[in-house]
Amino acid sequence: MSLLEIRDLHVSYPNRKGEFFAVDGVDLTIEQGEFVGLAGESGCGKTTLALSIPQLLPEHSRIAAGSISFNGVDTTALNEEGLRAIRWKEISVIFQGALNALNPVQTIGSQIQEPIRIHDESVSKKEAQDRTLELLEAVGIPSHRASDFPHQFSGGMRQRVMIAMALSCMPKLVIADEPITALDVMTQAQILDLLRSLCDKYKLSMLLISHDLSVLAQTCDRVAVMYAGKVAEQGPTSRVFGSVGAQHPYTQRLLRAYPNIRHERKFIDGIPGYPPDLSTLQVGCRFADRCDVALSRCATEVPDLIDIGGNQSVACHLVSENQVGVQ
Amino acid sequence: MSEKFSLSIEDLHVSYQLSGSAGKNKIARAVDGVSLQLHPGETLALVGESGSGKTSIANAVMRLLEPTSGKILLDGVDLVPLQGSELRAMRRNFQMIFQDPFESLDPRQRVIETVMEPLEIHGIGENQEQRRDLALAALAQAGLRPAADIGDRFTHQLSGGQRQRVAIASAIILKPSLIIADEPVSMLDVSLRAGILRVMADLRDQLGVSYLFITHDLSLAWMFADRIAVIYLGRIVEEASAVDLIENPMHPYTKALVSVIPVPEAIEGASRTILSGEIPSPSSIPSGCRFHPRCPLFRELGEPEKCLNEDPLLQISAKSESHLVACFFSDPSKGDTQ
Amino acid sequence: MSRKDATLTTHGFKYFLRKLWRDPMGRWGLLILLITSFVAVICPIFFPFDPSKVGVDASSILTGPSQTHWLGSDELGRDVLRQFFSGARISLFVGIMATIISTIVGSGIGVFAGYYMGRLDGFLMRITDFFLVVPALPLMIALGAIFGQNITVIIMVIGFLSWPRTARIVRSQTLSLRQRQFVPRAKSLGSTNLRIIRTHITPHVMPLIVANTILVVAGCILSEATLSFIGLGDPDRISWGTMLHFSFVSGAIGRGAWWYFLPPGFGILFIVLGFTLVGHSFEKITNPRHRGES
Repeated sequence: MSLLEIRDLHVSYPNRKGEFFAVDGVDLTIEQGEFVGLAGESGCGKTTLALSIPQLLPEHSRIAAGSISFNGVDTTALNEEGLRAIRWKEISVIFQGALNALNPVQTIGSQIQEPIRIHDESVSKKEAQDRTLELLEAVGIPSHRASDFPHQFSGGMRQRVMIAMALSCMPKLVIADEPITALDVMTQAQILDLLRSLCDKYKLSMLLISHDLSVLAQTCDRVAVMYAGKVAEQGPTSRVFGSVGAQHPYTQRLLRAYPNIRHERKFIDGIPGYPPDLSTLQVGCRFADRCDVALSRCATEVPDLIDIGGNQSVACHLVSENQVGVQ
Repeated sequence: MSEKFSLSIEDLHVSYQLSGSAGKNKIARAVDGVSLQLHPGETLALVGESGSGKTSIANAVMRLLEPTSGKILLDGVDLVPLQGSELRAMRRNFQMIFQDPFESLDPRQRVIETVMEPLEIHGIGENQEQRRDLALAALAQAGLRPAADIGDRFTHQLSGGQRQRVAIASAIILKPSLIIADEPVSMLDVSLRAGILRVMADLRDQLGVSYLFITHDLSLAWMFADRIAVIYLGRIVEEASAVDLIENPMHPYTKALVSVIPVPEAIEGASRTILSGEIPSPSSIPSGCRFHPRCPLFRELGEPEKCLNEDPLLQISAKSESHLVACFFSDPSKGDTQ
Repeated sequence: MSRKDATLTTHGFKYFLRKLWRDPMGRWGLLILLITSFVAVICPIFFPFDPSKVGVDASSILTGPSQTHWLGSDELGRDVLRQFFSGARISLFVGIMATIISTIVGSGIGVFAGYYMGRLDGFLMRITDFFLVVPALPLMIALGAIFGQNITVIIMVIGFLSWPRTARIVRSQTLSLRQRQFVPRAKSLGSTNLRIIRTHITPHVMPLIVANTILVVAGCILSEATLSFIGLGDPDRISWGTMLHFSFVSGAIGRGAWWYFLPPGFGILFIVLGFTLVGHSFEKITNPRHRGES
């Protein structure tokens, strides 16, 4: 059994005409100890998808359909109390931009200690302190800095504090929403390295959200690429970015939007047009009007996510037609 | 000699006094002796982490920040002593594209007003009609079509990519010889970046404008610029042609930066050099070579005295006249590595 | 992305009026102001008040409402209703004139202090602090003694004592605007500071100034009423405050001559309420932080 199984998830936000789906029928599975990357441009629904797992969605939005099975329990059926038992202890979240949300008048030591004691009252103060120092060491902060205040830390160090807080109750799944966006290149590498090693060391599952495919390519076991509320393509990193290559035209074009210093120097390609406005009715493939290889049926039929082997699946008519042709 | 450069920065220093109880009268040397030359029509990328001083250089050249010492020659004219109306008149020759297109455009102005503003300031064009036509042409040149339609909108009604194009249109309308682009695409979605950079590249070809392209992204610099200068803690540590710098980085800092460039490929056993720690504060620059506390080569060589005591200068490497590096030991051809 | 100013863009006057009308608070305020301006501007034309037209004998003094005097007469036998109409005009006039002075001085100082920062800011803010703590009454008494009890002096004193609040609000808004990147951009285009203030700062602080101005009018009318009530008003230009003063000194309150002191009392209450309601409603509309929608 997988640790997390999301099936046909729909998350809606209200708008003037009723509601629209920011996440529109998404399947996603995360195994125990797996490091999964979730990519996509802003507004594609990746954060909404991630926050629906511990049900930390913004007000007014709701899970309209589908199931989220975590460790065999459907979290969509849990009440507030049941969710509280899971949040932080089983699933913790490193929120986007949260490194600026540390309490400025509390030492970082006591800020890490706080969730430990809140979520497990049996832990004594001494135990919580020891645990805090252990966590700080684990994320690469010297333990003597536990009595320092957030303003004495750089952005990268504060992100390490956030990671230590997320790990404080030893959850099974950590969701990290754009944890390196505001950081420098070298600090980004440090943090990604840290996340990867923590994932391996504690057998954690990790869902890393980033707009940057190249970051995910080097860190994750598997990636899922979202476009306009749907998963366009997902598969093992070694296949999507390696031997087989990306199959969905969107993923392919996204990859060409990055300069690749391992290849010949050439100008990057963009993707003309803009993502569709999800608040209007969607017919057919959502990428169709930006796609240069679209077929006539792409405008009318929604492509399903088809397994093309090797645990890689693609939602594209062109790919599925070629598959049929091969078989 | 300075005639043939579009921009020539000579020994630029920018320092400021730190206030508050934390830094009691400490002086932060944000830019600590930087010299750069930019040929007409050339693009030089200035690459560095935050706190490296790259934005201070941009602001000093734009005269949004007073340099402490040094010269900034634009087409042979030193900008540093200029003040008041002389400086304002000169400003039409150098323009800036700011990082955040949501912050750098006044949300109360219409697009057309934003683009016409530089013309009004410098009294270009005989009447509003003529200025309007020039502005529409600039908008079209920046890839905003239909220009008249977009011109009537307010800037807050545009997407990030469109706003950055408005910023480009208003920067080129004065036909400057130099444009400083401060992280022009870092706030934009990946799929939109190419479009913006393409417009900038086209303008380079059409107008012969030179760019000082400021970025933290080495791979983007490699793709867009002719030359790259890597800056660390207020000092250029390496400068070479874009291709040369990525293929044969010499300075240990550049080597590390190149090794951690994210590549959209799954690479087995890629050797990445992740430096520990962070860039120190410009108020406490380490002695000797400012990079030595984080330098892998320094440790590898058994912490030589020279790195601790002497400040390496940016010098021509033995390998190529156009490849400059500020390190005592990184130039294998010099033979003093052992 | 939340962008503070997206909602504050150039909307016309009509847009704000419509918004005000939709807000219950704004609607009541507007109705009150409409009525009071009618009383102050139109009524005195048809029912002019002549202070010299005193009663002929003792029987016409402090009489109750009647056919000839709808709101009775005062201690000199003059018509209270006509006096009430003309008092409204004086109260409103003093309030608005003082507000104009206050707004010009306050926003000017606020914008310059906030924009230039540094030493000029420090200097201007010390002046502001000084005016903030100057007590109005003793100054008024002193100035009254020097220049006589004159409406111009009253306007000046109220105007020059009520700007510091405006200056502080405008300054803090300007300080935050100055951090926005469009200011260095304008500078790098070659704008002069004055041009930046005119084209990029003022339009942004304008809604704030307008909202504040409406509230200041209420304060100034109240100040005028206070000064006049204690007898520092201009005896030739009778305002509602002056009416209250004379009704008090003539013993109208003791004699139960309600028609003399209730109308100006309620008039002041009414007009201050109207400006306050509109002011707060306007603030609510222009300040997106108070709004739920984006």
